[in-house]
This record gives sequence, structure tokens and C-alpha cells, in this order.
Amino acid sequence: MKDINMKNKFFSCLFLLPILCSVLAAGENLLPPAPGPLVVWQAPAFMGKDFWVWLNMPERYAAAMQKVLQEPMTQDTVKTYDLGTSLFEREKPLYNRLLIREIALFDGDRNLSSLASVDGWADQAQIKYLERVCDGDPSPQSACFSAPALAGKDQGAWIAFTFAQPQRLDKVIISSGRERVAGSPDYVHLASRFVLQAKINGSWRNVPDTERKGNVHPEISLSFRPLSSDAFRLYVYEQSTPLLVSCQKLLEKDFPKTTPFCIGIRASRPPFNCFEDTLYDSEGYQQWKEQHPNFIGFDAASEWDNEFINFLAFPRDLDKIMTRSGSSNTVKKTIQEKIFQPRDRMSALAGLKTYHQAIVRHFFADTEKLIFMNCLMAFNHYAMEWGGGMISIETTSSGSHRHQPQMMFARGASRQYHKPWSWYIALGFNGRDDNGKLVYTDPVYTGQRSGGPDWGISPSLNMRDRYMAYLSGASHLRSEVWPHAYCQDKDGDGIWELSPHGEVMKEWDDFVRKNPRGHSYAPVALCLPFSHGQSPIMGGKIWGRIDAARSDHQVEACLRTLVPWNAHRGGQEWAYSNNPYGDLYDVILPAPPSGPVSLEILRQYQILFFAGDIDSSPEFAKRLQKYVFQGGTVVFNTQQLNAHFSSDFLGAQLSGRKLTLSSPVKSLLDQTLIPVPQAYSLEELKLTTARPILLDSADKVIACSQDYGKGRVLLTTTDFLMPDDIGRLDLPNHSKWSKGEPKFPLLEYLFGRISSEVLPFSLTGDIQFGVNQMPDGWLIYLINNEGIYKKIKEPQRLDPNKTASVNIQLKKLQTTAIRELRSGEAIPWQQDSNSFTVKVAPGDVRVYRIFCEKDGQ
Amino acid sequence: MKHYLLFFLLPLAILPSAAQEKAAPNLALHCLVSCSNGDKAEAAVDGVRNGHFWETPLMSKQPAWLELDLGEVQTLKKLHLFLWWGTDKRYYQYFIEVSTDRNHWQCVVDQRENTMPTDERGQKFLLAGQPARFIRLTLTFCSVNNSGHVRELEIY
Repeated sequence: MKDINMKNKFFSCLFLLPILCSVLAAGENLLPPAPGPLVVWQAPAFMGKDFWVWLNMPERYAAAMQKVLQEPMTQDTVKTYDLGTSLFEREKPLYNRLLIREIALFDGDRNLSSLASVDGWADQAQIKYLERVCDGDPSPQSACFSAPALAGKDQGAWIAFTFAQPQRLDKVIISSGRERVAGSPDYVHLASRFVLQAKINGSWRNVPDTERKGNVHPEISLSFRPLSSDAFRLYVYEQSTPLLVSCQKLLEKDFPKTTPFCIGIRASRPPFNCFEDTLYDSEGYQQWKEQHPNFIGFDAASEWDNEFINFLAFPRDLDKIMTRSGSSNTVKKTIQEKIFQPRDRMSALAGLKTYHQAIVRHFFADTEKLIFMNCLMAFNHYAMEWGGGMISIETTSSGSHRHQPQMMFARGASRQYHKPWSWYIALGFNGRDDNGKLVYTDPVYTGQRSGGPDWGISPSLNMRDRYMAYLSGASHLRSEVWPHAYCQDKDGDGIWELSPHGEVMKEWDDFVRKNPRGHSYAPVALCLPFSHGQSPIMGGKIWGRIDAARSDHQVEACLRTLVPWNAHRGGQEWAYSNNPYGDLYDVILPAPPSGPVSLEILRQYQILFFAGDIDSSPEFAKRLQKYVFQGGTVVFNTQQLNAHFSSDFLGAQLSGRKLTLSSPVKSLLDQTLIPVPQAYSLEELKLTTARPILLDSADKVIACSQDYGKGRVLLTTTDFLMPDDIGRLDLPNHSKWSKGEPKFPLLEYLFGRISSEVLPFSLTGDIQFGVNQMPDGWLIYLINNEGIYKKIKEPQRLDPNKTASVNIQLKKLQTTAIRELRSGEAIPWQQDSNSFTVKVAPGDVRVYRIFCEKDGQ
Repeated sequence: MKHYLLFFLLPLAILPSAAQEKAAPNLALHCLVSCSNGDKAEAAVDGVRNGHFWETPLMSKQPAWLELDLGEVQTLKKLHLFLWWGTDKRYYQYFIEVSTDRNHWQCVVDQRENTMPTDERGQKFLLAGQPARFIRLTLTFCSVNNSGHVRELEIY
């Protein structure tokens, strides 16, 4: 054992030779000195504004809302319309039944059906007026039909004709179904899948050329090669109604002429009408769209992520849901065959794409007008990769909901695909009531729907969400439980005033109208593999059913370091954490199936920090090399490397030898000693041209830095930068890491360095912060998420002892003025130290505008 | 609307008891139905008074109708209509016509000025033994929203 260690030390020394020659001078940066300017992408303006509030004005409450409707916040907003569960000209009938108006059996031009005795059978039903099937009258009043009809599924049934003597037949004419409304071409109970059978030697055989699937004709004539038998029967398997997606519903509605509007259609939700086989009137839709330039889009896929994960994670529930909501056999079959039980990540991804495409098809394939809303998962990038026009995140306070990671994914997807994103604030709070029962509550002050005053999330959380949405670059904001959470009849006169949540909305809206926000500053991208399938919001298995690998856990380790975990606080609300690294990080999936993202997209970021596995391809490796050459920085781990990354690019070679880390780790950048109490494994590196930046106490390389063009490659060696023992891989990290352990000191150090180097100022204090670039300086928001207490049905409570004191050191910024934008207050700063200190009350938000000379620097 | 045969309407108090009702077969049970709109017309004749229901948009200028086809001409003695009921004291306005041939209709119930809230007991209407095969219920108004909701229409 000793020999081996000696040997290791010997090799380490060899590898360290170039290191010793090029040891970094203390004070050097992690990032290259001149990375060049970042590409800035701003979400496109719609009808002259880059930020819209969606707020419906329900006519039902117009009288009660007359005072509220005078508030500026209710003016100039996007209107939304709910048009039901589909764009079908009519909804698919819930009930199916056999309904045959006439069956004519021909030998040449002779109808023989009236010569036969008629018999029939229907699944779970009897057949009424069977004799009418061959009475020569094809009207609906002379039909035979099954009773009862079946809800939510097709009704198998047959009608048999028995002749005294064998008869030769060569044609059958079947009249089935009835007009849904007199005069309409829209039929119900059509025999849509059927076959004519003949009894041959005592058993029923299909008559060739008579099997039909997807029949849409109320009368259908089928000719076949002559066949003789003494018994024939028509076996009907399905009576599904052919459906047409058209703009009929759109034409029936009187939409505003100038105000932007959005249309909600729940085709992606139970009974999952998007999976129906459907015809489309795309031409009619195009005409309608041209007449409505103020149409923002279809709210097409609310919580599509939750629905999809329900498909995978809770198959039993899904079956119940589909049956209860009346999903047709077509829908059930598609979900079961194409989505239900993925074998692996790629088939899960393929299933999600099938779902996405079904949604897209339902909306005339007008992808640019489709909004996909994510709730518990993070499918934002998928929605856009396959063509969604806008994504939305729904935030609430359900268990361990984490709003910052949701924002990181949405903002990253928006920048990766150059499409807008929106924030949907649900006010619900999932928690346990006084009886210990898990309930979801909404704040309701009007008494007009379920909920109660002071229920749901706190007004403070509502406010923090609003400021986050606006300042982090969302294009739209939507408010659930409007108007009931936001209005309150305080004096009992029947006229509503603003509730505590309403006051929050008013103050925030006033802020938004007065204060431009500039460009949300997120110079770091956390890069994930395309098939990540994670819920960074709620945890759980990958794609709802696959055990996480160590690489998956690294993603969570990064997110948990960037946004410290603070859930499970004894029933207290939690959604945000104070974070020392700032809201400076986006999540992107840089190597999607459509090909590696462009350099222009990558150049929006100063650093690409890879977490989890890397999607490998020569094209992607080349793209990254070019990105670095032009001034970008990438952070890899040895576990993520593959043959496409050359040692010239990395400045190092993998030795293939596994070593263990000896704590502490020393930074050659700033001489920091990083205690690493847990056991770590690492892969030994042979440095060629790279320089070490982190060494363990035995001088093993923990991280190295390689200059490449104007940029840098940083390579870390400990196994995914996590300790060896991170608990069982089959357990979701949200439960097994719920106590705040393990810590990830190497990630903490790296994120700390990155954040400090990408910011033009430094900040100390227990606070959440984010930064926006303004044309004449910077905007810094501070959010104190500590000292705010809220239980499921109690009012929010603030602890003034948790007021945060924050010092901002402006470094080299040539500041001309500082103003807090919510209060309008001018903030004095210390000229000698170029810094200022402020207090932020618990649950509060402060927004500081730093005016600077020299183009904002 | 005053010209309709209102005398067919009788107060609930003089209607036969539930026991008598049970003895007679519900002629509408699982019969053929069609409607002006909505996707669950059959729910109104599925024999379940508080299960699925027929729901239809209801605009003032576009009343919604539900038509039952009993299959053959029957003698009608009573209608028992179950509309949506809840805690909101809602009421519906509607009328009911019958026909033997689907060409000539006779109004037998006119509730177009009704303001009595619905409840789980439903609304019963005695008829005078009209012969009819087709029964058409036309909803004209709902006091709480722009929708019509029929849980069950029973015919005896």
C-alpha cells in the first residue's frame, strides 16, 4: 500500500513539473482578461411593449369591480378567453352507441336483406328496433340502436342476417349514425370501424375488402367478390365521430380589435383531445389570424409537463383520469402505445415529442402562436426546440417549489431559442391544515369561490414573484385567482376594493409602468444534456420513473448550491432563497437534436458551466472550441470528457488513474484553503499546457486552466465535483438531501469565483440579488427571503430581526447617482470606498439603479 | 308565450308519490337523443340524476335544445326534469314541446318566466296523456352563467 502511494506521489510530481513552471500568480482570475463583449438578446416587443400583464375583466363582476377597474393596473392589459377543451367544431360526443339506419345486402341490383331474419348483440346493451335495419327507410327515425350508450368508449356490436338458403352477395350499403343537429354534416354514432363477415363452415370470416377504419360517411357502399353463405353479419367495433379542427369557435367570439388577446384551449389536458385523429381547416384559420394581428397566441399546453409526467409516473391514475374524463379509444391507444412506458430517457423524450406534436397539430400547426406552460418539470427547452412560440412557468408554493431554478430554466430557454417567456403566478399553497390533511388553498377575499382571506401564498411571495418576473426578463405576467385574490369588499357596500394581494399588484404595476428594466444580466449558462428529464423544481425520478445517475445528481448539486435548499420548514412557505452567487445563471441545453446551438447564442454567456453528462458530437466540440477561441470560458469535469475534446484544447490528458482527494484544497488564484471534509475521488491529470488552479494538500490537480485563443478551458477532476457518498442513487435527492447535506465546497468555491468575476461590483450580506444592465449603468435588485413566515391558512408574519444589511462595493464603477426605485429615494454612497450599505426588510424587495459614467461602466 | 297550454302544469303538491313514479317505466331511459350543442346529450337519459349531465352554451338569442326520440309514439303522463342544482340558488327558464311526427309541436311546459331555484328533487310536470314520440326541451336562460345543464329528463 505504501509503495503504491509512493508511486502515486512520484507520478504526481512528474505531472506537476509543468505546473511548477507555470504556477499562477496569486490574484489572477479564473476568467480570461479580455473575453470580448457579450451578445445581448432582448425579448421581442409585441404591439409596442416588451412586457404585458394579462388581466381579464370578468363581466359577471363588472358592478362589484367598478372601483378596481379605475385602477391603472387594470388598463392596457392582455385579455384572455377560455374556449374549452378543443378547437373541434363540436366537442367529441362522450357517448357512443350502435346506430344503424339501414343495411342493404345486394346480389347484383337485388336487395336481399329483407329476406333474412335479423339478430344482434351489443356490448353491455340491448338493441332496440332491430327490425328497422332492413325496413327500406334510412331516416334516423327508422334506426335500430343500442341502449344504453356507453360513456367514454366505443360499443362493440353486430347485426346478423340469416337466410333460409345460402345467398350470393357482392355488395353492402350501410347507413349509420345520425346528424348531430338537423341539417348538419356533423354525424354522431357513425359506424367508423367495421367489417362484413360471412359464416363459413360454422365460423365467422371477414369478407375481403369490407373492413373499414375511420369511416366518415353516413352511407357507405362496399363491393366485394361474390360470396355465398346463409349468414352474414356487420360487426361494428367503433362509432367514433370524425372530428374537424376549425376556427368556428374563433369566429363565434367577438375578440377585441386593438387590445392583445390570448385564447386558452385545454386540448392538452384530460380528455386529451389533442390525440384525436382529426381533420384541420388551416386555410380558414390563416384568414382569421390575418384579421386579428393583436392575437398573441393559444394558451395551448397548460401544465403539459405535469400531464406528461403523470402519464409516466402514475399509469394507474392516468387510466382512471382518461376513463373519467371520457378519453376516446383513439386517445387511450395513442397514449398507451407511444408514450406510456418508456424504456429509457430517449424513448421518454420521444414520447414527450409525440405529445408536443399532437398539441401542435391541434392548433393548425401554427407553432409560433403556441404557449407551453411548465409547472413542476422543466420542459421549457423541449417546447421551443420542437417549435413552441412562447414558454411560461407556473409558480406556486407547493412543497419544495423553487422559483429561482424555474426562472433559470425559462430564461435560459428563452435566450437559447430567442423566443419570449412568461410567468404565471398561482397563489395556491400546498400544505397541511390544522387536521394534518394535505390541502391546496387559494387566497380569496371576495367569497365568490373556494378559498379564504389569508390563505394561499403570502402577499410578500406574490410581490417577490412579480419583481422577479419583470426584472429577470419575462415578456408576460399572468395572475391566477384574479379577481378573487386581488379584490375585497372592505366596507360591505358591494363594491370591491383591493385586497392585500391587490395592493401588491397595484404597487408593482406602478413600478413597472415607471421603470424600464434594461437587460437581465445572466452571463453564466449551466449547460445540461438534452435528455435531462429532470424536475429541478420538485425532484423525483428522471422522467418520473428512471433512477437518477450520479451525473443527474450533479445538476441538482449545482442548483442546490446556487439556490440554497430551505424547504420543509415545518409547514412554512418557501419558494426563494437568499443566494450568495446571484441570479446570474441560466440553464441551456446546448446540444439539442437540431444541432449545436449557434455561436451567437453561446456568446450571450461569458461562461458555460457543464453539469451532468455532455451531449457528444464532433460538431458540438468544434462549436465549443470556437466559442472559447473567441473569448468564452467553459468549465468541464473529467467525467464529462469524450474523444471529441482534444488535449490541445484541454491542455491536459486523462491518465485513467483514480486517486483520492486530500483535504484541504488550495486555490492558486487567491490562496484560499477549501476544507473538503468528505471523501472525493478524482481522475489524475497529465497537464501539458494547462496550469493548475486548484490543488489538494498532496498537490494533486483538482482544477486546471488552459488558455485557448481569447478564452479559457477550466477542467475539474473530482468525480462530478461531488463527494463519493451522496446517498443512494435510486433515491430522489429532494428527499435524501432535505437536511441541507451534503455540501459541495468545490462548487461553492467555483461559483463564488465566477460570480465575483462577472460582476462589476461585489456584494456582502444575506440576501438574494440579481442584476440588470441599463444603458447608463446597472440595476441591482435585493430580495430578503428570510424573516417571512406564512402557513397555509394564516396571515404572513414578518420578523424585523431578520432585516438584512447589505453592503455593495462598486469597485471601479464611476457612479454618478444611486436611487432606490420603489421609494424613489436617492441613496448616498461612500465616495472614498465607493460603496453603500442598505437595509432590506424581511420578505421585501429593493431595486437600486446605479447611474454611471462611460457607457455604464 | 301566454298562448301555450299552461294548464298542463300542475303544482308539485298534487303530483304522484315517488313510489308511484318508481312503478312506471321511464320511457326516456337510454332513448335516442340529439341536441343543438354539447357533447353529452345521452347523459340526460342515462338514468342517473346526479351523474353526467348535458351541458350546452346558452345565449339569449340562441336557446339550446335537447330532443328525445322515444322510438315510437307513447302516451305521456308525466315529465320529471332534473337541472343542475347547487348552493347558488340558480334557476333556469325553459319550455318543453312534444310531437308525434317531428313536424307539429305542442308546448306542454312553459317555464320561461320561472325564478324558482332548482334542487335535487327536480321539477315534475303532469301531462294529460299526450301521445308523443319526440320531446324537445328548450333552455332559454340560466341565472348564474351562460350555460345550460340537464342532469336527467324522465318521462312516464
